[in-house]
Amino acid sequence: MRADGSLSVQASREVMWSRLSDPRELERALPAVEEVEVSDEDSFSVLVAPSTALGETPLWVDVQVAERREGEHVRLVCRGRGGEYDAELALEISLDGDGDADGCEVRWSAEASFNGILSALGQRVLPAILASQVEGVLRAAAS
Amino acid sequence: MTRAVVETIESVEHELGRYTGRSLPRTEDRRLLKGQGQFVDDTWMFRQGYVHFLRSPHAHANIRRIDTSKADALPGVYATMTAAEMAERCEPFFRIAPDPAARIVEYPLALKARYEGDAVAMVMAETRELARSAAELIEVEYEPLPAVVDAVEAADPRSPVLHEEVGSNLAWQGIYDYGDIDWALENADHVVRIERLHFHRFSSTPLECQGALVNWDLGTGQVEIVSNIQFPMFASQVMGPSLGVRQDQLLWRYQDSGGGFGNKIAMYPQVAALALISRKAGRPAKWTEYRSENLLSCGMGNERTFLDIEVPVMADGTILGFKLRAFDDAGAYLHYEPLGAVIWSQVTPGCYRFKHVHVDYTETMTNKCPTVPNRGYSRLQHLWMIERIVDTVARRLDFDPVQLRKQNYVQPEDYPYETPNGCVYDSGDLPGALDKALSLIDYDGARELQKRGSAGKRIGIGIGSTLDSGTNNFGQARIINPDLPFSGNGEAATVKLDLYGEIYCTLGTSPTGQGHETTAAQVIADILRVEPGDVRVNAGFNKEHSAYVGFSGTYASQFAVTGINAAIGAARRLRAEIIKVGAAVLGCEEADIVLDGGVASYRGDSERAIPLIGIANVVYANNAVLPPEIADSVSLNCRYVYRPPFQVPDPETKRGNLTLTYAIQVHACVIELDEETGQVRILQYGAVDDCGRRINPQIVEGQVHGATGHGIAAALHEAFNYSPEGQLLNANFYDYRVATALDIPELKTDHIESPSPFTPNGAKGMGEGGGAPLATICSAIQDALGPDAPLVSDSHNSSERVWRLLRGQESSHVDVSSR
Repeated sequence: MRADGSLSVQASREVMWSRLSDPRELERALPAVEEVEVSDEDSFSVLVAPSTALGETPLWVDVQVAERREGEHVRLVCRGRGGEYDAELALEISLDGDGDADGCEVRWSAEASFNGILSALGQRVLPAILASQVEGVLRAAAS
Repeated sequence: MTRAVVETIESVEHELGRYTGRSLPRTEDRRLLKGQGQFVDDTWMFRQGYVHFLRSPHAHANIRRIDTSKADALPGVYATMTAAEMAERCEPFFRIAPDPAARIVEYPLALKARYEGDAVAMVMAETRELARSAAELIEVEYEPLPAVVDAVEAADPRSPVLHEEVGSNLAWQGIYDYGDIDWALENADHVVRIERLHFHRFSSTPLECQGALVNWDLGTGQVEIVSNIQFPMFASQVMGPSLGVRQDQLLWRYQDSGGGFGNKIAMYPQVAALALISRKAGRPAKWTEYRSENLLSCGMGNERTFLDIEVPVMADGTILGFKLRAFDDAGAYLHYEPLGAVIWSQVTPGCYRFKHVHVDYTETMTNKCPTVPNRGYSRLQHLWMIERIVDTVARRLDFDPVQLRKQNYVQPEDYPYETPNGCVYDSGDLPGALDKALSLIDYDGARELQKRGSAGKRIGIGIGSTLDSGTNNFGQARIINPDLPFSGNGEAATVKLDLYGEIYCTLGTSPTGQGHETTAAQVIADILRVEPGDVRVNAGFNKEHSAYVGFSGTYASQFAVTGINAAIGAARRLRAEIIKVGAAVLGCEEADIVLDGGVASYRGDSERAIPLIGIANVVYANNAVLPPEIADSVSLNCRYVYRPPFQVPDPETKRGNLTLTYAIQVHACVIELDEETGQVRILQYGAVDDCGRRINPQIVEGQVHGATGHGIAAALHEAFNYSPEGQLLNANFYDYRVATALDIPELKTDHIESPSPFTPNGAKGMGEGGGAPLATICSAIQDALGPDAPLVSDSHNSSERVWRLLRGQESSHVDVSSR
């Protein structure tokens, strides 16, 4: 499944970049994070336990920064595993704007796939949920 | 060639009638409506643990490694098991299929994941939630493999193979050839050719999911199983050799079940797994299926694709038969399959006098949930296809669909009617049923409405005629696999006069909501001339009552025949014993005893009488007063096994009487189709049912309503959608669109009673008429689309598909050649 979008945030490119590229900063923005383990600056793992129609659905997600253009673009590859489901997400985020301290433009695109029982949860609304989650993270990062 | 023969049956209809045939309120409803039912999840055993099955997220994957150590270490976890451990503790399940599918090695848990939802490990813990959380801690390293989700593709040798030991995905393949289809195609005035028809996957979604509580008693070796399984004796026969236990060690019981519809027949892998983890943990193991788990892995109805259909038709409209290739999708395992590969042939020509039929039938395994019997099992796919053929012939050759059906139907005077494959249709009046159905929907008025039309809306009128073949001859399994030791059918019941004159019945059937307690009491009351309220029928199933045979269970539309006639037989034996004792006590001939109102009396002298409590007293507590030859010959606890009159079918010719009775459903409907959205609205729906003598008309009516609602839901809403990778995309009630009361139109019903000459009580099995609405609604959509529209080639027609049909985007090629 693919989704993309863009939004304006009330944070400068520098601030957004520092938060999106720092796992410890990102932890604050990610929803339902219970644990973070940082391996190095390009890879970290998080235990997330979002609530779904099945109840809590814990996922160990390994996040790899696959591509990085300083202050401009980042591509994250995430692989999550639960007992009866897994998920893969490739997320690209680009920051636009002239460095205005009042805000910047964020463009994103995501390609996600789910296996197991998660794949059947709200199939018709999953793209919208994915978009909502990504934009939620970006807004949280900006705040 | 074996010629089908049906034995002459001694009718007992003259002994029934005081209560049989009346719509008495259901006995079961008193407790069910007050919340006093006892379902599996209401059952509890001392020290029980709760089980969660860990299910594969992959449709096809090798399992490289499973590590349960983190789950085992969690406080409150009693035991875990993996497939590898299972393989050391039990034998693989036996197979119905012949070689090569007989080579499949299957244990209660999977050594390799073959569908999304395949159980690869299990946990037993202190609570259900803890078991589920602990299952999350089991680490499974999967090696994903390519998946195949289409039955036709699965037959291609280049497709991924699910079971390497088989060497292909072939579950069964065979040719059914009756009459002379080549002659018919050569000599017909017209040949209609349809490229493809597809019958979709759906299920029954019973209110109560599957469940079981199993205790392997380490001291006695008994395996006590409380489970809402529908066919416990089939499961018993599969599980006994696998677990290495004797049949008397497997003690099955349950009281109430929240619906089955066939889906709960093939639960034995889970029950066997529960038995093994119970033995390991030394505790009872309880499992209650989650709804999402039920949709993902309980079992689904057979999906079938029909290809290269050829239909020879004479100029006067006589349809001579058909030739086609059928590909049935069995899913990942053969839990009850490939029986479906023969069961469809119970209704080979459908409702019609087709003489020449050629079906090249292939069943393959795919990376999808295994199929299980599902209301109308294997026949509704075939009957739907035939109705699409008849409608297509009418449309393409410009015949009136009503007249074409009437002309080709088996006629009332044809009964008993022998089909080309030796089945014998027992009784019926199809043209009469069609007239009634058309009357229910005001057919002429609907045609007027259609002609008038309205902006943006189209009116369509549809007809569907189907059969509900009931009471299987298990000998048909030999057509699939000649080595199988099965034939005939049967059911047991006991009727007992207890110490204080109470009448108590136990049945071998396993009811799932059909009112067995009520209807059995009605017929027993008639035989023993008491009130139905005087008869207590044991609720549910209990193997310890010994009222069972190898075929015991509830399936294949047969309770009204097998279960009821077992109860009638047992009641008649008890009546004979009561009369014998009464005559001895009253000092008269048995012929002089009149049994009525709970009293055995001397004919013409009501003062010279003994009540049932007195009869019971002299047998149970005062038997020294009886002559020894009487005392030694009665028990007042009578068991009877009803055996339908079957012969063994011929596996070579694939001929034989495969089923005893044929209930008829003829449905008609009027729909309104929205041109902008493709939405279908049912304006009128009429259902006519003929199930022979009705024991309790209100219960029959309930079954007709249920089956019709089920079929409408399947036709318009319910379908399992898999991604090409084998991911089920709608394993929940949000996405799998179960119909609600708001989706079901007001149903108008009528009936015909054509007593079956082959059953003692004249009844036919019924309740599986869920196929008729699929045919009826497809027929109506086709009618609404108009003469130049594409063929309605799928049994499931969501608004989206209808929208595409309206725009000519869906197509299965239809060709007509004429001489």
